[in-house]
Amino acid sequence: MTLATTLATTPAIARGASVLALCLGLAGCASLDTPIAPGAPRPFTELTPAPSGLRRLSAAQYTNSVHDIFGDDIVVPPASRLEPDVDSSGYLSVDSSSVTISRRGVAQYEAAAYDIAAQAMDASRRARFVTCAPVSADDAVCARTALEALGLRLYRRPLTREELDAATGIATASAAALTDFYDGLEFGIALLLQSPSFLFREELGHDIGDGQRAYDGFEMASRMSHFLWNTTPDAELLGDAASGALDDEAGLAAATERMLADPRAEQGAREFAFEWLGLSGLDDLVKDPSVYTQISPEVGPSAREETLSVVAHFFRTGQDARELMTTRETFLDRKLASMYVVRAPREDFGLVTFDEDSPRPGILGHISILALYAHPVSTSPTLRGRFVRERLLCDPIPQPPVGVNTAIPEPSADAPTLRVRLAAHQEIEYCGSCHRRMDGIGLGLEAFDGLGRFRRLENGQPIDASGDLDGHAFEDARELGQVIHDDTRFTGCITRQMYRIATGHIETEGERGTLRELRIAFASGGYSLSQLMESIVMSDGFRRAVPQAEEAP
Amino acid sequence: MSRAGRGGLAVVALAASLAGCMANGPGGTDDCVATQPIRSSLVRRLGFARQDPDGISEGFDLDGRVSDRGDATACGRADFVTPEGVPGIDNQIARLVPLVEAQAGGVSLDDILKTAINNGQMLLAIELEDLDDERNDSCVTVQLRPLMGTPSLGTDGLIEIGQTFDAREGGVVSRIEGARLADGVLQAGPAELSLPVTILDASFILHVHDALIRIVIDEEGNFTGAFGGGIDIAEMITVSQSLNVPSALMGAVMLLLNNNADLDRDPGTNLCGQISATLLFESVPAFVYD
Amino acid sequence: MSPRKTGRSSSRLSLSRRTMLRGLLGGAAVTIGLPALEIFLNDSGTAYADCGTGIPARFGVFYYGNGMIPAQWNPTITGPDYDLPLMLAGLAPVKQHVTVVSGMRVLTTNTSPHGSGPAGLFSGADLVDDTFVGPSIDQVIAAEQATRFQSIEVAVQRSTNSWSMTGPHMVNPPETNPRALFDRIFGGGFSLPGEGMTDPRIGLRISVLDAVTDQSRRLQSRLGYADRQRLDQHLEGIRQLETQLSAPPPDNVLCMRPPEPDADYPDVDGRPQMQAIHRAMSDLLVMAFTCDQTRVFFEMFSQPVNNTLFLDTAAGHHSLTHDEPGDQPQVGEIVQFIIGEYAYLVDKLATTAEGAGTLLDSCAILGTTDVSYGRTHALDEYPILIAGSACDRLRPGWHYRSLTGENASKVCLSLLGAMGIGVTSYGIGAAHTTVGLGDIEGTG
Repeated sequence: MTLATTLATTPAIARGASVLALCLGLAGCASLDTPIAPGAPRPFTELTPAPSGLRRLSAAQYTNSVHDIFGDDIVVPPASRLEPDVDSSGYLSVDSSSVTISRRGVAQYEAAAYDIAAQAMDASRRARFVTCAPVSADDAVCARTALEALGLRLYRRPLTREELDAATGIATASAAALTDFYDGLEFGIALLLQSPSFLFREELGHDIGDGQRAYDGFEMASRMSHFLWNTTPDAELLGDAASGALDDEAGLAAATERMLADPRAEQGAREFAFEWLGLSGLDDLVKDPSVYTQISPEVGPSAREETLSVVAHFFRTGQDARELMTTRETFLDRKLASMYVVRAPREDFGLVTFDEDSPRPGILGHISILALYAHPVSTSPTLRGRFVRERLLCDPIPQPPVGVNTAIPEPSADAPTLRVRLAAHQEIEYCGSCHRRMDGIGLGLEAFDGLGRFRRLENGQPIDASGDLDGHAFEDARELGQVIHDDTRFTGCITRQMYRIATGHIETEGERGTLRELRIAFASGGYSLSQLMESIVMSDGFRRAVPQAEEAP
Repeated sequence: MSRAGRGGLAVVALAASLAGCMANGPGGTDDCVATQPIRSSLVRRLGFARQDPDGISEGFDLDGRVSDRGDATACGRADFVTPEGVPGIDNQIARLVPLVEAQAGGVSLDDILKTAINNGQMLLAIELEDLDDERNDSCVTVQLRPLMGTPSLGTDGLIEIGQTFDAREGGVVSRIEGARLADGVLQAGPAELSLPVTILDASFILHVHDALIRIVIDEEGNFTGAFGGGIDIAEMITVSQSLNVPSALMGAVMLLLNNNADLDRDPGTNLCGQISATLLFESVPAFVYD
Repeated sequence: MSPRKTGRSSSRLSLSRRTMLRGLLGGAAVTIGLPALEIFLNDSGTAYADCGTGIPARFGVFYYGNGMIPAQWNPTITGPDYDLPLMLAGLAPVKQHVTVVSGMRVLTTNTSPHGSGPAGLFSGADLVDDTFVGPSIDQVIAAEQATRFQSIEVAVQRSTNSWSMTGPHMVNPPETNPRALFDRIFGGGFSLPGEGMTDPRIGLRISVLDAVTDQSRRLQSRLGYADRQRLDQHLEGIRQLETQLSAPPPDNVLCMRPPEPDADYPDVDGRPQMQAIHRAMSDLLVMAFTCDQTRVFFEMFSQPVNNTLFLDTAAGHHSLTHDEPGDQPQVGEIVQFIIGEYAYLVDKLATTAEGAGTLLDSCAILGTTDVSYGRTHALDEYPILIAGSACDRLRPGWHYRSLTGENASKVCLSLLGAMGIGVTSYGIGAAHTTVGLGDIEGTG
């Protein structure tokens, strides 16, 4: 996450989470962890789902969709030449529900559309999309057939007659002007690629009474594939939508199971991990090379790949997600292996198992998180502690107060370690009330420097990584990982954040019941991430909506 | 560690006397059974121990004699004294190295070695086997093994720690058994060492006779240390020729070698056949693919 | 069709824009006048005469992150002979063009340490839902432009973030690479007079954009309010692209295609090449003004809360602002460097001829940051620089010091007035003002 978005992120996390903090304050929440006997009546409040609406494709979804629809051999412009993703809320998926397309983005999508359309109509590829033999340059029947098939994939629903007429009209008029069928068809395809119906996912729902809406089959297909695969529905899923298979529980479950077994599901798991852990900032990791001699441009992206690989591994194997805080298994390339000082795997990002006495607490001990939540020349117990609070425990930290002196003492003989220096924050009550909640956790990770390298000493002094997380003492990072593993808030927080990412909004009070059901389902499924994904798809919160307000608030 | 190493090669505590080599380390075990995996360390800095003015140099007392110019056994070559004042140090090559560098137009042998190490031409692992204690162990086997691979360099221009390499196929391996580790200082030898050297366009095996090794292991597992021993004059000349040393310089090198030889005196000719030498090194944890 | 194609687009534009801006400002007292285009263009639509009548007024923002230190920034002398404290030392060569406004206060609620200041100054309102409630000041001005680009956004520090917003959640993503900026302005779509020939594909592309517009409108009819707003922005972008595709070549003889900048500016010793990137971008922006490709730009020199390693400083910028002890000499060095880069841009404009004067004569280039004193995230003593007189509508080369902590929105209202934007107020709530800052206004 860039520093700017760090700033922009905070209030939203705080706001979203504060809704749930409120929830936790309610008496009912104390019993959340008690499994409910099968068959027991659901004591939950009635669902008030979130408003439906448009979600803009992320750069990854755009790229994945083009590859799925046109072929992996199509060169898609890099993300730097597409409208950039935004994560001002802390989750790209949530921002996808509020972002639009800028003037620059319109021009970029236009350029990309012609680039992709030209590749698709290249003599080597056009047969994939044009199965008829055009009888003339402006053969409308043949153009229409091709555009109808492509349109179904690109819009994730059949084109309306009007839309198909327009695309065919563009294609034939262009073909006539350029005297070539395929050159003309490029323009028809470019229209589809620039349409808001492609660039935005239209997930509007239809009225089902009581002021609520349900998503129809094609809308569900789109929601499912973008959540589970981070890409567009395949032909089979669109077939399920057309046949009505997604309209009932059994059909939905069958489709979800098929999708989770598909290799593309790993893309969905990785996207979840990427957003959950806020790893976008790893592209522009700022570290002082005179302090961290192992920094190089590939460190950030490699470290991210490691963490995503571990989460994907948990997803594939169904391993208990709590063990993300304790696992010694990871996936490294040569660079990372040297930074962890372990034998590199033969193949990049092959499986590596840390020694039993490794100091690393699962993904919390990954270079990705330790380096990202730190400063350019030092660690930051505050940033690391805030990460644990907000991303692992969903326990929000308010914005720092303004108008106060934020300095901490310089290192000195009296205060050689950051632990001692930070104590100042905690002694001042208006700082300490928040800093104690962050720094106390973050200091548990002080045995890892600002780049995530293990260290025993800081300025010649042995590192004290002991601490306390809400009454649970730990001696070092491994024990901190175990404390988080054992904290019921951790799995609740995973549930909540996956739900945010799946549905594209910060959960509302009206979704408490859905979230409680999901938490229980996660627990009873042995904290399997893939089972949680399936539960979310099957949940009413994912399938239902209320209409967006018609008028300005 | 890397910052401290930025200057010249510094060898910590080389002054530990050879006598210490014979003592059992406190708390060390005597059995040669390994309880820890082989520990590999990659030499990332290597250079000749240089002489300071006034006859001071790092090194070893290889012949057990404190020689002055009148000591015929050492072919009249006076020994050095370590910076800590230990006398009898045999490192006659220290007299020769700067002269050769000057004769060759100001090249730096250490730089040539550094380039060879950094570009992966000359990767040498020092490996400790039979370890059962990190600091004290009276029975350790030291192995020198050439590796291959493309090392990654840090922003300080040194090979980064913790990298994994392949063993060099057909590389010459030297093993010294019975080394002793006491308080984190390992001493080994005397033994015959074969150092595989690849510099410039040449590769050769440098044989070091009656070699002694001393290694200081720090808390982070980094090694600083030295090899010392006798190098055959004849072999050095052969090696120099293989390096395409210009003939004018070659004559000077031969003269310098012969004039500074101090070991392996032939009682018949009264000429010394070997020159004493000390190489200082710094090495960092590394891994070798099985 | 009218021979002035831009005119056709602009009249279509301004209606919708006006509606949109009204909506975005939530009914605040904003009245956008008739298309301001008429003020700027003579009958031929392109030939300029005098500043303010033929030559268009131009607006730019130079923003950097992490604030300043008032004692090292605020001049002690007011008026034209003001002094230059350490942080402003770099202004020396261009001092006569730069007005320093000190002592102003951004009157929004200070809830977000590096966000409330920009929200208050640029949008005149609090941050709501982490975003501006309406367009940023540059976009209020941009909405009135009919140039090939209504505005250009750049960022020297690599980021997709910007304070330039057309409305809530509607960030204008900046160009972060000088070559990409060159390609956008002076690449394929740009031709000098006599250079280009009519590409038959352009007409076809416009037809496609018209078809996209139809689809977007139809989709809008099924959407709620918020999503309709989002598609309005999409439609706006499509219209801008149509304008670009049909824009006539510039007819200013001083307009030239500038040299292509380097493709990459890799970090040197782990530190970004801020100066080289900024200067390459500045040169392009200046030529974009000369060629009248745009009249508005927004530069994010660095991001709020950025921890960029500047110069040879020992820590990231943001960390230093909080942790450096004493007078914070390293922070001083960084801000001095940044203001020196602002001065580079100003000097470039001041030495580029146009009409009887220079480009800077027609400009107002606002230089500012996100807080005043970085260590405490203060919003009083807000740092504001203005370069250029906007065709004598502003008073350049002056230090105005407010002794009463006046509302910084006054400056923005004066700037909008100088740009010929017919608004009668700026800001919402505490930041609201109906009067500008007379002391910085000119005679034009």
